[in-house]
Amino acid sequence: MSQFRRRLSEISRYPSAVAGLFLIFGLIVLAAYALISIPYDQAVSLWRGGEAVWAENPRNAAPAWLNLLPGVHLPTTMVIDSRALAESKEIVDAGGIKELRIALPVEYTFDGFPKEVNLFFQGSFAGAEPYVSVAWLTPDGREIPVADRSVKAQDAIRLGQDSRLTRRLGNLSAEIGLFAQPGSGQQPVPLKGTYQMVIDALLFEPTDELDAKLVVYGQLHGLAGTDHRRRDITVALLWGAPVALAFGFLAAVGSTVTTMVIAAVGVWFGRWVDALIQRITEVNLILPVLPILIMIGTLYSRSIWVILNVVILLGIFSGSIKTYRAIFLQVKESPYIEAARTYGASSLRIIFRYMLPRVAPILVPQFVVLIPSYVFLEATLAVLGLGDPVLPTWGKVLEDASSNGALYQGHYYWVLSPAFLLMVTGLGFSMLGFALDRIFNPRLREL
Amino acid sequence: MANDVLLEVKDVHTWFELRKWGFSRVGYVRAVDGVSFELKRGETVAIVGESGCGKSSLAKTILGLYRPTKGEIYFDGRPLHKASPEVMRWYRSQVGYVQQDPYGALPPFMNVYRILEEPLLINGVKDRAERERRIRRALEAVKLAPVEDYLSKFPHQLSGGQQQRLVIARAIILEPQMLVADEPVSMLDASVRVEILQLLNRIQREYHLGIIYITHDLSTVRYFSRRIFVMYGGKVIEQADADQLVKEPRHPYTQALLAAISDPDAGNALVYKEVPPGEHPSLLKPPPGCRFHPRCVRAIAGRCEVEEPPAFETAPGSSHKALCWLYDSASPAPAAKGSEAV
Amino acid sequence: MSQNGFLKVEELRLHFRTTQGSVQAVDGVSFSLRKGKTLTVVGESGCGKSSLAKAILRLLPRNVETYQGRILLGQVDTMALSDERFRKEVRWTRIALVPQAAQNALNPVIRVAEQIAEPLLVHRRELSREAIYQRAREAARIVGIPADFLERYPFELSGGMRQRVTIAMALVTRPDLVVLDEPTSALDVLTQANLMNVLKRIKREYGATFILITHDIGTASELADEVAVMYAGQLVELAPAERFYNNPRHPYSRKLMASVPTLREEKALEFIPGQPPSLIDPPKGCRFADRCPLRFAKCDAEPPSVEVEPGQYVKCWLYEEGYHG
Repeated sequence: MSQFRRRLSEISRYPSAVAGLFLIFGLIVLAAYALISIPYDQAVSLWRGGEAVWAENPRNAAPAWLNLLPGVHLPTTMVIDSRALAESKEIVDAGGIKELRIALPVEYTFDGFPKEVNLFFQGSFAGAEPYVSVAWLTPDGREIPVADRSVKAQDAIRLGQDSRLTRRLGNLSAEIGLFAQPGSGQQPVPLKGTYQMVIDALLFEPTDELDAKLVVYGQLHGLAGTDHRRRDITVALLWGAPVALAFGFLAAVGSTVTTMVIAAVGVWFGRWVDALIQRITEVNLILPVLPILIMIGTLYSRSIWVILNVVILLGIFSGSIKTYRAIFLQVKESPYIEAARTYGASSLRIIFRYMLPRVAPILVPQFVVLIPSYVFLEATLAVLGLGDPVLPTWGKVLEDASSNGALYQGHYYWVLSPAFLLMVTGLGFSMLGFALDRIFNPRLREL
Repeated sequence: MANDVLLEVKDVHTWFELRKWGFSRVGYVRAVDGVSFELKRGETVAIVGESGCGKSSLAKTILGLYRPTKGEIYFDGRPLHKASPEVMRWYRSQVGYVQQDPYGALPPFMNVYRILEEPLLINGVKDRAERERRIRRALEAVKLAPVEDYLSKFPHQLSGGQQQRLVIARAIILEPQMLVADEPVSMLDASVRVEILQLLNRIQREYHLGIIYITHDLSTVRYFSRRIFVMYGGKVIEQADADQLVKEPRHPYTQALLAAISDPDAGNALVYKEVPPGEHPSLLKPPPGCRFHPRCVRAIAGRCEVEEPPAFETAPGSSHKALCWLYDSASPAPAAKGSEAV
Repeated sequence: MSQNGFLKVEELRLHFRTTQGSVQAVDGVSFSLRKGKTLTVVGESGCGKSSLAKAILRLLPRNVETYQGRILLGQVDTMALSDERFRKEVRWTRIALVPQAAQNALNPVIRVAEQIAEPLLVHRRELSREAIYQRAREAARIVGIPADFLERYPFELSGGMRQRVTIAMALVTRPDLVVLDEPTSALDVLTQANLMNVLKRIKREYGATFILITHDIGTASELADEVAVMYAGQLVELAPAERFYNNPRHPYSRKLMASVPTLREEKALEFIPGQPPSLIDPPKGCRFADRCPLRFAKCDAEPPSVEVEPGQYVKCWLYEEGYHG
């Protein structure tokens, strides 16, 4: 065992191994953070999404750190809530009918236009629905009527979808038209300054209450942007880490250790046992893994545990059995194994205590390099639409991106961030694995 | 006395099947083809031969690694050739094996303590203190001392001689009655060989072991064995007391073998050695009659290539026997030929 | 060193760099050898004798640290030649090597005749293929390979035959000197004797000059005109064969001789306790001092090589004071 430890300390001599370890460590930290800050149930429900969860996120927003780039000053989401700004409400009483004026100020200093503008209402009323009249005041003194209608207890006015407003704004969609500099014509430029959304509400009972929330959706959001369902991609990126690592690790462990044991058993007992194992392996080699997984995913279950088990099962009788077999055949002829037989070692003991330890040094680097292959396998399945239905994984993000035409629409961040993480995983494990290979297999080393 | 006899090998044959495609039998490799001898307690016998003569297969048959195809083996009176697993297990604790390659014989991933512990664990020595005691005793017996220095070392940290001592320690740790040493010193340096052979001698006296010493090096045999059995083509073609064999070899093969050995003597450079032509016989298809006849300068036409000779006494009542028609009681043993000058 | 040197090696040094330090495999070896004679270099494992062979043939690994000295072949100092010139003009054309366990290093997919011819194909390209194969057949005949074996593959030949093939490969370019590194150690007794017969015949009939490197003193005596004993990278004794075998001088040589069991004479066997020193950072004084029964105060310093009799050199303080054993 001290041989093992000695070899581990040699890792420090290989810069690529150190870099690899660094990356892997980073991924583990990421995974740990994800598991701690967003517990499983919460992650699943977040990812299921829905209006309630992600209402305040813009759709398809780019990462917010883009604003750090020089010359870029794109809008981030602003939420102006009357509940938060007490001074926004002004009650103008008029007999039995309450007249309420809510003025929501918007400081707009950005170079670009918001993605969307939505006005949410929340109120409680005994009888008839309140009637509101909404107007938009620009910094340069214009007043643009926005809407005149009654509102329900939970209501929303999506200004961008109002075609009359669009026409009123000179055929500019609300999110642009409300903020455009007048006269900027074909290439609208945002007018910077303080705007106000003024809501004049008529409440028909004295006990009626009404609150309004203006959400000016930015073009940028969060660390990684959002997707088509307004979900913060960071959640998926975070959660993808433990899923990827766990899947890769378990699959790699499950298959390599089992493969090694089976190869040893076959070699030791020889004859029909060996022949049987080899024939099973040969058949298994021909079986196409991905189509089988697709078949199972489509017809049976997409649960990640099922897929993991099938992957391990298919991976046990892989080509490595032949490699291990070649090595074990040599080891079997070693004098020390013969000696063990003469002092009475049983077959089981010889396999586990005398043969497997010889192979373990070769196993470790192979195992390390195998982990990213399984990570990619899982991502591949997800991209093909067969990922686990509830878990947010990197592959899932890629799948959403591709089925929503991310690249066509210029949402590069949607594709790049999961791809980047997958790449980092592959890179980290490969670098470590190759360095380990050189450490554990001195023949590959150069003097 | 019958009690004195530790091992009795009676007409043992070990044949290996050769199969084609894993199915049809092509023939048999007759590695051991009718060997008989006895080993007494406290005695060393040497089995001498070149590679391919079957001596290693004989060793492994005796050790129980191969099952004899024919013949009987008795150890301490008990039959091994048809032994039950319990008897075999008991036997395994009674015989030690010292192999040729000291480094190969040791698992590289176990340290000295673990290597010596294995036989004890397998054979049911449950008490940890007892195991430790026996390990120390074994290491002291082979003079790997101070014991502390060696317990945590790994095989690659030991020299060739030390590795072989460790192998011997492992062979004796169960306090066996017999040792089978297959070329125990041929991979060691000349100056270390003597040390190890003397160690084996000492251990033999201490533990009253019977030793079967297998080698191709006839020069060492005289110093370390009482009786020599010369093997050729799977058979024992000559057997005699050590001194007798070296002084008066009878079988033409033995004579050739001895003539071919070089003692350190500058005069050797002036003389060509007489070497029998040809190669070892195939163990799969041995030549008819005497196995050595195709290479023998003294083959008797009409006899040696027709019929296999039985073991003849080379002198009436002597224990020196040769498997050669020349010693048929009809004709006396001719003198050995001299060497040709360069 | 003696006059009329055909091969003269002076202060040959070969050190390797390893992670544990500098291995001083060959540390100041000097000897000379006349044409048609055989020098046997005798030593145990780890004494540097294989490195000596590599040093003479300049087959250096990548981690070589020191490679110096003079190797005079006739008039030419081969050490002074550039690598390319050495490759073209010396290696295998003037000095050939039969490496250790060469019979296992034959190319399994090339027929025997072609392998023997290969050195000529590389170094004597001006010859026609006919001439080359003629020479190959000649070399095979000299070492005693039957003609019908030439068209076979190495795996069809026995160990002894394969070793003859490697010797033929070394002889085919008609070099001035052949270095053989443990040519018989993996072979059976009879095969060994056969091979030594072959080498003897080549030596007598063709006047070949050999350097035979072996750990086996007995086998060495079959061919030796001069014997050199190597210990821990240095030559501790160099003597004509007869004088060496009758009366070795250096304490190590004596102990070595005493540890080899002899068939024909009765003697008490001795062994040398301890181990040879590591070639990494060897001891400063006499390298055998730790194990020497005759050690005394002076042995803390490196002994000189003393010519006790013409042509016989011993590297030992005992002989400086006129001690005759």
